[in-house]
Amino acid sequence: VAGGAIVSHRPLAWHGALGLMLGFGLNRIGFSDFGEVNRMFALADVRLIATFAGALVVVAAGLALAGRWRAPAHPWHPGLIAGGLIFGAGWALCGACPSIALVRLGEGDLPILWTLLGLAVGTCLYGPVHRRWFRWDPGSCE
Amino acid sequence: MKVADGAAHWPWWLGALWLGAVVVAYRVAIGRDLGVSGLIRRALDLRGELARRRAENWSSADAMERALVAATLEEMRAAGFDPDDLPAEQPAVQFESRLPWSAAPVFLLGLIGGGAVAELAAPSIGWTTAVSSLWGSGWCGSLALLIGGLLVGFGTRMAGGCTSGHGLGGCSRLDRSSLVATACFFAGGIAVTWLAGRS
Repeated sequence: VAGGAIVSHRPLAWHGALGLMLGFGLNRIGFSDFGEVNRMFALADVRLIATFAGALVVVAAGLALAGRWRAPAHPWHPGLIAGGLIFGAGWALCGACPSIALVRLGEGDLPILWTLLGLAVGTCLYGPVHRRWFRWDPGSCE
Repeated sequence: MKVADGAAHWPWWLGALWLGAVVVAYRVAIGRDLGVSGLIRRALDLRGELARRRAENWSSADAMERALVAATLEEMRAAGFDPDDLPAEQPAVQFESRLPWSAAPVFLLGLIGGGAVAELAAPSIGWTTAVSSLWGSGWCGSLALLIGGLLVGFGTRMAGGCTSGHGLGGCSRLDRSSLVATACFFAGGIAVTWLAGRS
Protein backbone atom coordinates (compact mmCIF):
# COMPACT_ATOMS: atom_id res chain seq x y z
CA VAL A 1 0.00 0.00 0.00
CA ALA A 2 2.83 2.38 0.87
CA GLY A 3 4.22 4.26 -2.12
CA GLY A 4 7.77 3.75 -3.25
CA ALA A 5 10.10 3.98 -6.19
CA ILE A 6 8.41 2.39 -9.15
CA VAL A 7 11.10 0.28 -10.74
CA SER A 8 10.33 0.01 -14.42
CA HIS A 9 12.52 -1.62 -17.01
CA ARG A 10 10.65 -0.02 -19.87
CA PRO A 11 13.00 2.98 -20.24
CA LEU A 12 15.95 0.57 -20.27
CA ALA A 13 14.44 -1.52 -23.06
CA TRP A 14 13.68 1.62 -25.07
CA HIS A 15 17.22 2.93 -24.59
CA GLY A 16 18.71 -0.37 -25.75
CA ALA A 17 16.43 -0.67 -28.78
CA LEU A 18 16.71 2.95 -29.90
CA GLY A 19 20.49 2.95 -29.34
CA LEU A 20 20.76 -0.09 -31.61
CA MET A 21 18.55 1.51 -34.25
CA LEU A 22 20.44 4.79 -34.16
CA GLY A 23 23.83 3.06 -34.38
CA PHE A 24 22.69 0.91 -37.31
CA GLY A 25 21.13 3.84 -39.15
CA LEU A 26 24.12 6.15 -38.69
CA ASN A 27 26.31 3.45 -40.27
CA ARG A 28 23.95 3.00 -43.25
CA ILE A 29 23.62 6.74 -43.76
CA GLY A 30 27.39 7.05 -43.89
CA PHE A 31 27.68 9.36 -40.90
CA SER A 32 30.34 7.08 -39.46
CA ASP A 33 32.45 7.30 -42.61
CA PHE A 34 35.17 9.92 -42.19
CA GLY A 35 35.27 10.56 -45.95
CA GLU A 36 31.55 11.34 -46.04
CA VAL A 37 31.77 13.71 -43.06
CA ASN A 38 34.85 15.34 -44.55
CA ARG A 39 33.05 15.91 -47.88
CA MET A 40 30.08 17.36 -45.98
CA PHE A 41 32.29 19.90 -44.18
CA ALA A 42 34.16 20.63 -47.42
CA LEU A 43 30.73 21.38 -48.94
CA ALA A 44 31.61 18.90 -51.68
CA ASP A 45 28.63 16.60 -51.05
CA VAL A 46 25.16 17.60 -49.87
CA ARG A 47 23.79 14.08 -49.15
CA LEU A 48 24.48 14.17 -45.39
CA ILE A 49 23.17 17.74 -45.13
CA ALA A 50 20.02 16.70 -47.01
CA THR A 51 19.65 13.70 -44.68
CA PHE A 52 19.96 15.99 -41.66
CA ALA A 53 17.53 18.57 -43.04
CA GLY A 54 15.07 15.85 -44.01
CA ALA A 55 15.30 14.38 -40.51
CA LEU A 56 14.37 17.79 -39.07
CA VAL A 57 11.17 17.80 -41.13
CA VAL A 58 10.38 14.20 -40.10
CA VAL A 59 10.94 15.02 -36.41
CA ALA A 60 8.82 18.19 -36.58
CA ALA A 61 6.00 16.37 -38.39
CA GLY A 62 6.23 13.31 -36.13
CA LEU A 63 6.18 15.33 -32.91
CA ALA A 64 3.32 17.47 -34.22
CA LEU A 65 1.31 14.32 -35.02
CA ALA A 66 2.11 12.87 -31.59
CA GLY A 67 1.12 16.15 -29.94
CA ARG A 68 4.61 16.56 -28.50
CA TRP A 69 5.91 19.45 -30.55
CA ARG A 70 5.92 21.95 -27.71
CA ALA A 71 8.77 21.78 -25.21
CA PRO A 72 10.51 24.31 -22.97
CA ALA A 73 13.04 26.42 -24.88
CA HIS A 74 16.72 25.86 -24.24
CA PRO A 75 18.18 28.78 -22.28
CA TRP A 76 20.41 31.24 -24.08
CA HIS A 77 24.02 31.37 -22.85
CA PRO A 78 27.44 32.34 -24.27
CA GLY A 79 28.59 28.71 -24.33
CA LEU A 80 26.26 27.98 -27.24
CA ILE A 81 28.52 29.82 -29.70
CA ALA A 82 31.95 29.02 -28.26
CA GLY A 83 31.04 25.44 -27.40
CA GLY A 84 29.39 24.95 -30.77
CA LEU A 85 32.49 26.12 -32.63
CA ILE A 86 34.75 23.92 -30.45
CA PHE A 87 32.56 20.88 -31.03
CA GLY A 88 32.41 21.52 -34.78
CA ALA A 89 36.19 21.85 -34.98
CA GLY A 90 36.65 18.58 -33.10
CA TRP A 91 34.02 16.83 -35.23
CA ALA A 92 35.89 17.79 -38.40
CA LEU A 93 39.21 16.65 -36.89
CA CYS A 94 38.11 13.14 -35.87
CA GLY A 95 35.01 12.72 -38.02
CA ALA A 96 32.94 11.78 -35.01
CA CYS A 97 30.10 13.47 -33.20
CA PRO A 98 29.48 11.77 -29.82
CA SER A 99 27.31 8.91 -31.18
CA ILE A 100 29.67 8.21 -34.05
CA ALA A 101 32.65 7.55 -31.79
CA LEU A 102 30.69 4.64 -30.27
CA VAL A 103 29.29 3.43 -33.60
CA ARG A 104 32.80 3.27 -35.04
CA LEU A 105 34.00 1.28 -32.06
CA GLY A 106 31.23 -1.21 -32.83
CA GLU A 107 32.36 -1.31 -36.46
CA GLY A 108 35.78 -2.40 -35.24
CA ASP A 109 37.66 0.85 -35.88
CA LEU A 110 40.11 0.53 -32.99
CA PRO A 111 41.97 3.87 -33.46
CA ILE A 112 38.67 5.56 -32.51
CA LEU A 113 39.57 4.58 -28.93
CA TRP A 114 41.77 7.71 -29.01
CA THR A 115 38.67 9.77 -29.73
CA LEU A 116 36.66 8.00 -27.04
CA LEU A 117 39.44 8.73 -24.55
CA GLY A 118 39.43 12.40 -25.55
CA LEU A 119 35.62 12.48 -25.44
CA ALA A 120 35.57 11.13 -21.88
CA VAL A 121 38.33 13.49 -20.69
CA GLY A 122 36.77 16.52 -22.40
CA THR A 123 33.32 15.73 -20.98
CA CYS A 124 34.64 15.32 -17.42
CA LEU A 125 36.95 18.33 -17.72
CA TYR A 126 34.12 20.70 -18.60
CA GLY A 127 32.38 20.61 -15.20
CA PRO A 128 35.35 21.90 -13.15
CA VAL A 129 36.32 24.42 -15.86
CA HIS A 130 32.77 25.76 -15.96
CA ARG A 131 32.53 26.13 -12.18
CA ARG A 132 35.90 27.87 -12.03
CA TRP A 133 35.63 30.36 -14.92
CA PHE A 134 32.15 30.55 -16.42
CA ARG A 135 29.16 32.18 -14.80
CA TRP A 136 26.21 31.20 -16.97
CA ASP A 137 23.62 28.47 -16.58
CA PRO A 138 24.57 25.76 -19.06
CA GLY A 139 21.05 24.17 -19.12
CA SER A 140 21.61 21.21 -21.41
CA CYS A 141 19.31 19.16 -23.60
CA GLU A 142 19.35 15.96 -21.64
CA MET B 1 38.27 -2.73 -47.01
CA LYS B 2 36.36 -1.26 -49.96
CA VAL B 3 36.96 2.32 -50.97
CA ALA B 4 33.97 4.53 -50.16
CA ASP B 5 32.00 5.47 -53.24
CA GLY B 6 28.83 6.58 -51.49
CA ALA B 7 26.73 4.26 -53.65
CA ALA B 8 26.16 1.75 -50.86
CA HIS B 9 24.87 4.38 -48.46
CA TRP B 10 21.20 5.01 -47.94
CA PRO B 11 19.61 7.77 -50.02
CA TRP B 12 19.02 10.95 -48.06
CA TRP B 13 15.27 10.42 -47.64
CA LEU B 14 15.66 6.97 -46.10
CA GLY B 15 18.29 8.25 -43.66
CA ALA B 16 16.03 11.19 -42.81
CA LEU B 17 13.06 8.89 -42.10
CA TRP B 18 15.18 6.56 -39.96
CA LEU B 19 16.84 9.31 -37.90
CA GLY B 20 13.54 11.14 -37.52
CA ALA B 21 11.75 7.98 -36.39
CA VAL B 22 14.38 7.30 -33.71
CA VAL B 23 14.19 10.85 -32.35
CA VAL B 24 10.37 10.90 -32.33
CA ALA B 25 10.16 7.43 -30.74
CA TYR B 26 12.61 8.50 -28.01
CA ARG B 27 10.64 11.64 -27.28
CA VAL B 28 7.31 9.81 -27.12
CA ALA B 29 8.57 6.80 -25.15
CA ILE B 30 10.91 8.58 -22.72
CA GLY B 31 9.26 11.99 -22.59
CA ARG B 32 12.35 14.05 -23.29
CA ASP B 33 14.66 14.94 -26.16
CA LEU B 34 17.28 12.42 -27.19
CA GLY B 35 20.67 13.90 -26.28
CA VAL B 36 23.63 11.60 -26.80
CA SER B 37 26.25 13.93 -25.30
CA GLY B 38 24.03 14.22 -22.22
CA LEU B 39 23.75 10.43 -21.99
CA ILE B 40 27.55 10.15 -22.25
CA ARG B 41 27.99 12.66 -19.44
CA ARG B 42 25.41 10.79 -17.35
CA ALA B 43 27.14 7.45 -17.98
CA LEU B 44 30.50 8.94 -16.95
CA ASP B 45 29.10 10.65 -13.85
CA LEU B 46 29.59 7.67 -11.53
CA ARG B 47 30.42 9.83 -8.53
CA GLY B 48 27.26 11.89 -8.90
CA GLU B 49 25.19 8.73 -9.31
CA LEU B 50 26.63 7.21 -6.12
CA ALA B 51 25.94 10.47 -4.25
CA ARG B 52 22.35 10.45 -5.50
CA ARG B 53 21.88 6.87 -4.35
CA ARG B 54 23.18 7.73 -0.89
CA ALA B 55 20.79 10.70 -0.73
CA GLU B 56 17.93 8.40 -1.69
CA ASN B 57 18.75 5.93 1.07
CA TRP B 58 18.85 8.81 3.49
CA SER B 59 15.36 9.89 2.48
CA SER B 60 13.99 6.41 3.20
CA ALA B 61 12.51 8.19 6.23
CA ASP B 62 9.84 9.21 3.69
CA ALA B 63 9.12 5.57 3.01
CA MET B 64 8.75 5.00 6.76
CA GLU B 65 6.25 7.86 6.94
CA ARG B 66 4.23 6.47 4.03
CA ALA B 67 4.18 3.05 5.70
CA LEU B 68 2.89 4.63 8.92
CA VAL B 69 0.14 6.47 7.05
CA ALA B 70 -0.88 3.25 5.32
CA ALA B 71 -0.97 1.35 8.60
CA THR B 72 -3.07 4.10 10.19
CA LEU B 73 -5.54 3.99 7.30
CA GLU B 74 -5.84 0.22 7.74
CA GLU B 75 -6.69 0.68 11.41
CA MET B 76 -9.23 3.35 10.56
CA ARG B 77 -10.92 0.98 8.13
CA ALA B 78 -10.89 -1.74 10.77
CA ALA B 79 -12.59 0.73 13.13
CA GLY B 80 -15.36 1.27 10.57
CA PHE B 81 -14.22 4.70 9.41
CA ASP B 82 -13.97 5.23 5.66
CA PRO B 83 -10.57 6.77 4.87
CA ASP B 84 -11.72 7.53 1.33
CA ASP B 85 -13.57 10.52 2.77
CA LEU B 86 -10.20 12.10 3.48
CA PRO B 87 -8.81 14.43 0.81
CA ALA B 88 -6.57 12.59 -1.64
CA GLU B 89 -2.90 13.33 -1.29
CA GLN B 90 -0.61 13.93 -4.23
CA PRO B 91 2.72 12.13 -4.10
CA ALA B 92 5.47 14.67 -3.48
CA VAL B 93 7.94 13.02 -5.85
CA GLN B 94 7.21 11.73 -9.33
CA PHE B 95 9.33 8.62 -9.30
CA GLU B 96 8.59 7.69 -12.89
CA SER B 97 9.78 10.97 -14.37
CA ARG B 98 13.40 10.30 -13.45
CA LEU B 99 15.52 8.31 -15.82
CA PRO B 100 17.48 5.48 -14.18
CA TRP B 101 21.24 5.96 -14.51
CA SER B 102 21.64 2.60 -16.23
CA ALA B 103 19.58 3.85 -19.19
CA ALA B 104 22.58 5.97 -20.27
CA PRO B 105 25.17 3.16 -20.55
CA VAL B 106 22.52 0.88 -22.07
CA PHE B 107 21.91 3.41 -24.87
CA LEU B 108 25.65 3.79 -25.49
CA LEU B 109 26.06 0.00 -25.65
CA GLY B 110 23.16 -0.01 -28.12
CA LEU B 111 25.09 2.41 -30.35
CA ILE B 112 28.15 0.14 -30.26
CA GLY B 113 25.94 -2.88 -30.98
CA GLY B 114 24.20 -1.10 -33.84
CA GLY B 115 27.55 -0.31 -35.45
CA ALA B 116 28.66 -3.92 -34.99
CA VAL B 117 25.46 -5.38 -36.47
CA ALA B 118 25.66 -3.03 -39.45
CA GLU B 119 29.31 -3.86 -40.05
CA LEU B 120 28.71 -7.62 -39.81
CA ALA B 121 25.66 -7.46 -42.09
CA ALA B 122 27.43 -5.49 -44.83
CA PRO B 123 31.09 -4.75 -44.17
CA SER B 124 31.55 -2.43 -47.14
CA ILE B 125 29.01 0.21 -46.16
CA GLY B 126 30.14 1.69 -42.89
CA TRP B 127 33.51 2.89 -41.83
CA THR B 128 35.41 2.76 -45.09
CA THR B 129 37.43 5.95 -44.97
CA ALA B 130 39.74 6.18 -41.99
CA VAL B 131 40.80 9.45 -40.42
CA SER B 132 44.33 8.67 -41.62
CA SER B 133 43.16 9.40 -45.19
CA LEU B 134 43.41 13.07 -44.33
CA TRP B 135 45.79 13.28 -41.38
CA GLY B 136 48.06 10.39 -42.25
CA SER B 137 48.62 7.29 -40.18
CA GLY B 138 50.94 7.18 -37.23
CA TRP B 139 51.10 9.85 -34.57
CA CYS B 140 49.54 12.60 -36.64
CA GLY B 141 46.36 10.63 -37.21
CA SER B 142 46.18 9.45 -33.59
CA LEU B 143 46.68 13.00 -32.37
CA ALA B 144 43.85 14.24 -34.63
CA LEU B 145 41.60 11.53 -33.19
CA LEU B 146 42.54 12.36 -29.59
CA ILE B 147 42.35 16.16 -29.87
CA GLY B 148 39.19 15.90 -31.93
CA GLY B 149 37.60 13.79 -29.19
CA LEU B 150 38.70 16.24 -26.50
CA LEU B 151 37.15 19.16 -28.39
CA VAL B 152 33.96 17.19 -29.05
CA GLY B 153 33.59 16.28 -25.37
CA PHE B 154 34.36 19.78 -24.09
CA GLY B 155 32.44 21.62 -26.80
CA THR B 156 29.25 19.58 -26.50
CA ARG B 157 29.17 20.16 -22.72
CA MET B 158 29.84 23.85 -23.21
CA ALA B 159 27.08 24.16 -25.83
CA GLY B 160 24.80 21.99 -23.69
CA GLY B 161 24.13 19.45 -26.44
CA CYS B 162 25.30 17.92 -29.68
CA THR B 163 24.00 16.83 -33.07
CA SER B 164 21.08 14.94 -31.53
CA GLY B 165 19.91 17.25 -28.75
CA HIS B 166 20.45 20.67 -30.35
CA GLY B 167 20.74 19.55 -33.97
CA LEU B 168 17.70 17.31 -34.31
CA GLY B 169 15.66 17.92 -31.14
CA GLY B 170 15.99 21.68 -30.72
CA CYS B 171 16.20 22.67 -34.38
CA SER B 172 13.07 20.70 -35.29
CA ARG B 173 11.21 23.01 -32.87
CA LEU B 174 13.02 26.08 -34.24
CA ASP B 175 14.50 26.62 -30.77
CA ARG B 176 16.62 29.76 -31.03
CA SER B 177 19.49 28.49 -28.86
CA SER B 178 19.64 25.19 -30.74
CA LEU B 179 19.62 26.90 -34.15
CA VAL B 180 22.58 29.08 -33.12
CA ALA B 181 24.46 26.13 -31.59
CA THR B 182 23.90 23.96 -34.68
CA ALA B 183 25.02 26.76 -37.00
CA CYS B 184 28.20 26.97 -34.91
CA PHE B 185 28.75 23.19 -35.12
CA PHE B 186 28.82 23.44 -38.90
CA ALA B 187 30.78 26.71 -38.92
CA GLY B 188 33.52 25.15 -36.76
CA GLY B 189 33.63 22.01 -38.90
CA ILE B 190 33.69 23.88 -42.20
CA ALA B 191 36.43 26.23 -40.94
CA VAL B 192 38.71 23.40 -39.78
CA THR B 193 38.15 21.39 -42.97
CA TRP B 194 38.89 24.46 -45.10
CA LEU B 195 42.08 25.21 -43.16
CA ALA B 196 43.20 21.57 -43.42
CA GLY B 197 42.56 21.56 -47.15
CA ARG B 198 44.75 24.65 -47.65
CA SER B 199 47.77 23.37 -45.77
